[in-house]
Amino acid sequence: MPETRLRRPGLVMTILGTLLLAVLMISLMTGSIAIPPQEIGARLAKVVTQWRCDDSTDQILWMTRLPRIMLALLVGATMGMTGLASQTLFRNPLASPYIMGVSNGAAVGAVIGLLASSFVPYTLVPVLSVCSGLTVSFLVFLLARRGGHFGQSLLLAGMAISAFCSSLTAGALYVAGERLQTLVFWLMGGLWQATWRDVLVMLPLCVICLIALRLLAPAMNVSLTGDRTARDLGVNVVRLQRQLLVLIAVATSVAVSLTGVIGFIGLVVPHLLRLAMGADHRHLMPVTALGGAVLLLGADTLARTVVAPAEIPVGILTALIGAPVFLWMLLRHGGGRAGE
Amino acid sequence: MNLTANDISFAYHQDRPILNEVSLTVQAGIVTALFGPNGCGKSTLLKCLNGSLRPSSGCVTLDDEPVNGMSSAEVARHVAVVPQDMPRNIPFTVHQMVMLGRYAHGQMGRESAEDCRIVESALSRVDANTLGNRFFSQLSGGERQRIAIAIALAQQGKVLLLDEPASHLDISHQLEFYRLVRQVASEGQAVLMVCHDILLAPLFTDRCVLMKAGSILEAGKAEDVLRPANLAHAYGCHAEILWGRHFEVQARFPEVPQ
Repeated sequence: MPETRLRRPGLVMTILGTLLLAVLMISLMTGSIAIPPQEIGARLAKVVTQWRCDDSTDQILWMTRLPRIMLALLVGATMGMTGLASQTLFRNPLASPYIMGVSNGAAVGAVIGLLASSFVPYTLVPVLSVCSGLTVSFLVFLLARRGGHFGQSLLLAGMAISAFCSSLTAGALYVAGERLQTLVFWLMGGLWQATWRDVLVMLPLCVICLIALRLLAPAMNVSLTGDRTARDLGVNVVRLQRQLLVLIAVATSVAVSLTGVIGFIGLVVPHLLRLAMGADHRHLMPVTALGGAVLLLGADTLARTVVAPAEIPVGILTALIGAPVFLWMLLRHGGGRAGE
Repeated sequence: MNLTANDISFAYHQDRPILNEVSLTVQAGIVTALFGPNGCGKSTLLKCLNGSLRPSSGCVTLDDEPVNGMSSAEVARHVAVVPQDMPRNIPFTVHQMVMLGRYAHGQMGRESAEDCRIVESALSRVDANTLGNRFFSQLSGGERQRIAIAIALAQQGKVLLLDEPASHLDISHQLEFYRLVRQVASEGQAVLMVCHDILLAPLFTDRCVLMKAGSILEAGKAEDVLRPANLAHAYGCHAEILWGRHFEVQARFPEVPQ
């Protein structure tokens, strides 16, 4: 992995915190109805204290805009963290949960659920998505264990299973008929269906991810020295790999089930922040969560305002931003592996 | 603290054993050098000694406690290993790298003032104070080797296992390194180093062990172990080595063409 020139976690955290507040304010203010900044606090305080919405503006703010913002923050933070965890697991700065096939695995379950939503309750769609995401992760893990080098085998098994899942999804789209547009729109990734229930699902998961990955951060630092040295320095490498894999699989599957496939955040955010402040996971993990939250909220705000009243699936925007950054990373660092 | 291999055998594939009932004690306060031709099982023995590999038979004990029953962190608190080579592309500074040696002692990854003092001392002992803020990936092979030794010193184990530790060092740093190893042993640590240098390394060791094809050929003082018959048997080449007093050594290789 490339080394960094700057190592100022406090400064990076301050910049990202300021950006977060700015994007949060813009996001609350803009949309189908513009709400002046001085009204926002009063309206939110009224809804929270009196537990009632007086007009449509209150409704939009509390029932549409705020849950969407909260979900963007939580999913963005989770994607940033799982991206960093993937890059450490593979010791490859260009890795992400998508490479492991988790996202495409979760997408298959969701697409099947959406296709069958005439026969099964809609609430089962996220459950199916999580189940298929976890099944794929488990399969990839089993295949990787049978291979030689765990990291390489995991990568190859993930790519193969991911391709298989993509073809299943394509098959589902082929037979989708009149549901094709819904499915395609969902697959592009978006937060337009966000509800407080989604926020309540994502909030504990994001907090658990943050705490667990922060606790694993010292071991993740040591694991960058390679499996053998890490073992010699006291890390139970196999257990660490399993823990990371479970966290990545669960968090990504749940995120995909709620928002569809939103790419590049888990790839770009950890890499850019590592360049800015170094590879020490103890500082990098919380900052990456913050960075992911800022980027997804910013992208989602753009997605729903730039062609308002219509909106662009946020997955398109993150890919538009992420792909050039990804290419820049490849050209600048050659996608070099660390710990090999 | 003594690290003992009791009749251990190991094979990656059942039909190709690497170690055959090897018994060896790495004693506290003693520098033991392990010699043998390439592929004779030296590095595998080292991996078995620190619990990285589980022997198919026999056991490794650390003062009578089986190493394979201990957690990785517990082993790392007692046994430090200097690997043959470390990956180059690690995105940490030298100071951060040496701090990784404190992982097994750490509490939630927090670095105490004591940890910092130990890291500074380890860097100083390998003459690398000035390298602290440089990136590990920017170091030369010899500098990386010295940092690998500093990481092991920062672990503050009671046993130090070194796998060809002087292979990337120039003669000046080799002498410096062997002096350091002697000093570490004099502080009570048990030291075992895998070596290929049959001339320089024995000058600084208390005990030599010669391996061939997964078994120990002979163990004892350098002049008894590295005698022509043993060297011919182990390496298949003729060499006569004469050790004098005060770090003097003479070697004769009769088969080398004039």
